[in-house]
Amino acid sequence: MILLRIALRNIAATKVRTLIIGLLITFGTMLVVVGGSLLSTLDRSMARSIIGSVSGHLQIYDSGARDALEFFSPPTGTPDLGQIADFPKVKAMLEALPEVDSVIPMGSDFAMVFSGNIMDVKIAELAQAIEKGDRERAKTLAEHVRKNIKLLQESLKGLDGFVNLDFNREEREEDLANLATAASDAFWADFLDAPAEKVVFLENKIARLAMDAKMLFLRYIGTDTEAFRKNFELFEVVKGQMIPPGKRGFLFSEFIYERQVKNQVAMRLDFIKENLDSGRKIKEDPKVASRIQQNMRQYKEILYQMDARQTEQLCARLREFLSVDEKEPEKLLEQFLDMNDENFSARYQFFYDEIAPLIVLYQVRIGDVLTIQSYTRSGSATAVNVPVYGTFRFRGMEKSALAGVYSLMDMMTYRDLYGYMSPDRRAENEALKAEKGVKYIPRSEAEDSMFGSDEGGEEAAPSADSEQGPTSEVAAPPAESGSERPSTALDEFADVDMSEGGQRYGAELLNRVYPQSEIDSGVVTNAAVRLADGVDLEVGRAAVEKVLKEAGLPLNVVDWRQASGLVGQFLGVVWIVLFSAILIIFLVALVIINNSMVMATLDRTREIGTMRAIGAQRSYVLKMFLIESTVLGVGFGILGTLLGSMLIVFLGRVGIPAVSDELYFLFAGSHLYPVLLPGHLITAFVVVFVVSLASTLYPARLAARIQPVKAMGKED
Amino acid sequence: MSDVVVLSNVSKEYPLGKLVVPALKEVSLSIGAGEFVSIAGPSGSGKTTLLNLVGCVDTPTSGAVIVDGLDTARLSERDLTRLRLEKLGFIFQSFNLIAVLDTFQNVEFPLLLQGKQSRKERREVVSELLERVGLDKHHHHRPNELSGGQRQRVAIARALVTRPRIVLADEPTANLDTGTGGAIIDLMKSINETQGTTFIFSTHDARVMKHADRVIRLEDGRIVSSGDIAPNGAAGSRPELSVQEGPAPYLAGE
Ligand SMILES: Nc1ncnc2c1ncn2[C@@H]1O[C@H](COP(=O)(O)OP(=O)(O)OP(=O)(O)O)[C@@H](O)[C@H]1O
Ligand SMILES: [Mg+2]
Repeated sequence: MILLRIALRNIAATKVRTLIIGLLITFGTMLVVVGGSLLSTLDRSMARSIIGSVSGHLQIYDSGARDALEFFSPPTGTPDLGQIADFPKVKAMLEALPEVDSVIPMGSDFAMVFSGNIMDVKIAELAQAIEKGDRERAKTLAEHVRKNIKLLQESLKGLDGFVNLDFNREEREEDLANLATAASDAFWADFLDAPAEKVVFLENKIARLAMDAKMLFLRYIGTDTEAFRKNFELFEVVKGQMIPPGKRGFLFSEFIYERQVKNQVAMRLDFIKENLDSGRKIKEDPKVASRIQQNMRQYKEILYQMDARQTEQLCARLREFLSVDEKEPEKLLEQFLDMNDENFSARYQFFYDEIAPLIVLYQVRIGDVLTIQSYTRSGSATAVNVPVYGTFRFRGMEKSALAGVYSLMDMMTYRDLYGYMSPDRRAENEALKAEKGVKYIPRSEAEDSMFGSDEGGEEAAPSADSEQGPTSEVAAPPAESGSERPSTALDEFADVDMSEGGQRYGAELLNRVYPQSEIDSGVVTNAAVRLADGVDLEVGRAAVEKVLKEAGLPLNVVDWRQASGLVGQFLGVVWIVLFSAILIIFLVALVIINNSMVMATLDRTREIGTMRAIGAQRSYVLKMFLIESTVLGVGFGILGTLLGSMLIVFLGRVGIPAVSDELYFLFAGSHLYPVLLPGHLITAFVVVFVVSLASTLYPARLAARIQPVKAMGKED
Repeated sequence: MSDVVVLSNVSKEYPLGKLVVPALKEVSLSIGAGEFVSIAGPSGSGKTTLLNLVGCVDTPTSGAVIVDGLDTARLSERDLTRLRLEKLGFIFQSFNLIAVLDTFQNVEFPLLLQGKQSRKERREVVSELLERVGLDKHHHHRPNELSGGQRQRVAIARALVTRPRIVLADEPTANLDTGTGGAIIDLMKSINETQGTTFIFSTHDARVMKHADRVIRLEDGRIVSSGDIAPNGAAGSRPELSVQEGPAPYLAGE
């Protein structure tokens, strides 16, 4: 066909123009195919992550809520989601729908958990030994505490150089003075003879100074744990066991447990090992090397935890292992922790074989009863004890901090923390108040630390003296850090009686098996709706909305994307960015093709005039131009589609590694394997076709209007 | 003999800003089938304008242009295009070949527009014509690989490929040297003689004019002499006649 020949010749004849348009179109179509396929795959993997972990397909919550439900947004205080009135009714109604599989009640919040630092633990053990009259043990422990005080003194002195904050200078001086007292020989000389006062002094003034004091910031979801386990297919218990059905219980997110509850030195070693296993080198990777440096500075974390005998024992083993003569435990440990690519695996092994058994590897152990302190909706301080049954993770997202952000607890404990005391809990509280005499506050300094310690004090110290106001006053502003220690907070928690190990609070409660009716009734702030297999999200959503509306229930229904918060919106944003980029590229292509074609009509006026003179109709000229740009567009469109498809197929084979935690979550695993979707190929084609036609319409009409006379006369 | 071109009282005015430039004034003329006619006249006298009107690429301001018995004023744009394709052939001063097509394709082009012949028929016709104009070795040369004379031969072949009744040529030799120009006119003349195609061409060149059966002289938009109509299209003594009529001072001045 002659027109095609002319078009091809013209395309070949104008190389620069062809190249520019070709690049644009190739790139544009590649972007459509690659970007579209990536995002669609990402959308699927995200759906899998989010639906399969905490959100379910839909979430429902009070339409009068002040805040929006956003699971994966950074916490900005406790969101006020209101409550689902009469959850059992809602659940029954929705589960009756054929589209709905199940409805899982939820509530999420956060709390600070003070996991006692080693000073705390040792001082408490000391107090216990004294109480029991175990003099031998008390002596060892006293020495251990004294050793730790010395170490503490050194580190605080060292810190003095740069911690020079004016607002707490006085306190700092007081701390140092107290420390000096506690370190003095006089303090310890007659310690075992008159310990009571001194133990209190240690508990109140010294323990909180220890730098390894750990504040755990926990975000948790309170839920019907059995329903949760059954409905979120990615959920799996890692350590310990599942919370028994109907019981109170807590499951740590494995991620949080390994990263925050674990001893820091051990945690860093794990991090390094993981990196070395994936082929990185300490020598080459500054991120890995910095962990070595940090560990070398943190030998105290280990030494703090050992008494004199254990320290001596370890030193001997270390001298043997390292074949050195060093006597000083600090130096020895520092040398040991100074690892390199060659000796890392041997030392890692040594650490877990010889050192780990001597220290507290996890600050909260599985089987422990965890005390969670929080402020209720009405602003009053509360605390509950809950047994830690184990840890869990979402399959495929082991390494994601985002996926690991939530720990899990039963609905009853959640409600207690939320501030709506269950009837049985209330009764128990009354009983406890009656027995005032036995009140024992072993961790009063813990509360002190919680709101006044040097680290993390600013996290969230709600104004303690706020009245028992409405729920809206909960999100108290963070206290100006350190400027004024809200000591009233201490008093408030003092009223909440938390006896050790939860024997008193809850010995009975913690063993109770709650019936389903009790789990479902009471505060439920939001609920996940799992749709039946194969039900389209929008169809399911419409069905749920319809039924709720008919029942006159004022509930918001949001899909997993909205419910996931920033993460879900992230994909929306990326779609918009991609869409804009494609739009811009094709707009530019459109303008350039248009311009170059207009130029071509001018350049080729004589030629077109000649064609018209010797008998070509206008439509012929029109066709000639349209074919030219279509050939250009479709040709490079095919090239771009082909390149893009090849790239996607290639990426689908090797996978795109999740280089950051966010990606890990979005990819629902370590790699994203993009899939080529025919839809995007078709889109790319349609877009290219439309753009090349649209861009030539004007120049083609211009060309068709060229008069045959233009062929006459002399050449210009 | 039948007239293939008849002009009666044709005027053409071009608007030029607020003025109108009269390019042709009340021109009447008829050209018979098989004539070999030259249009002569000084620059700006209206030669191109006249050829454009006959070639149906322009319309008169007043008067009638009848081509092959058809009143062009009554034809639509599409029909005029059709008329050009079927009945007319054009040879241009600047050759006007399609740059991206080779010799063969350029000549073949009008046949493709007509779409009447098979590939094989086209090949035969084009090859024969190219042989006739002496370009049988140059089928696959692009226009820019050909000399001016060769290009004009391609253009002649293209103009003839549809076997038109009339071939119009506006200064076909103006861009060629004298020798080549002469050869082109000889070629045209021989085709005129063998196939009876009517040729109407304009020129400034007296030597070219000599070949014409008849010379129509224009001056300032009017015909000052329309020569004698040759009895049978044969050259005979026409050249002398033309030369006699040609005003020597004007020719010298060109
Ligand atoms: N498109 C136009 N617009 C305005 N005036 C025009 C146009 N074409 C021709 N003319 C004028 O019409 C007159 C006749 O022009 P034409 O081109 O027919 O002369 P010509 O005999 O072909 O001259 P030449 O020998 O220089 O080619 C001239 O005065 C010219 O300026
Ligand atoms: Mg002219």
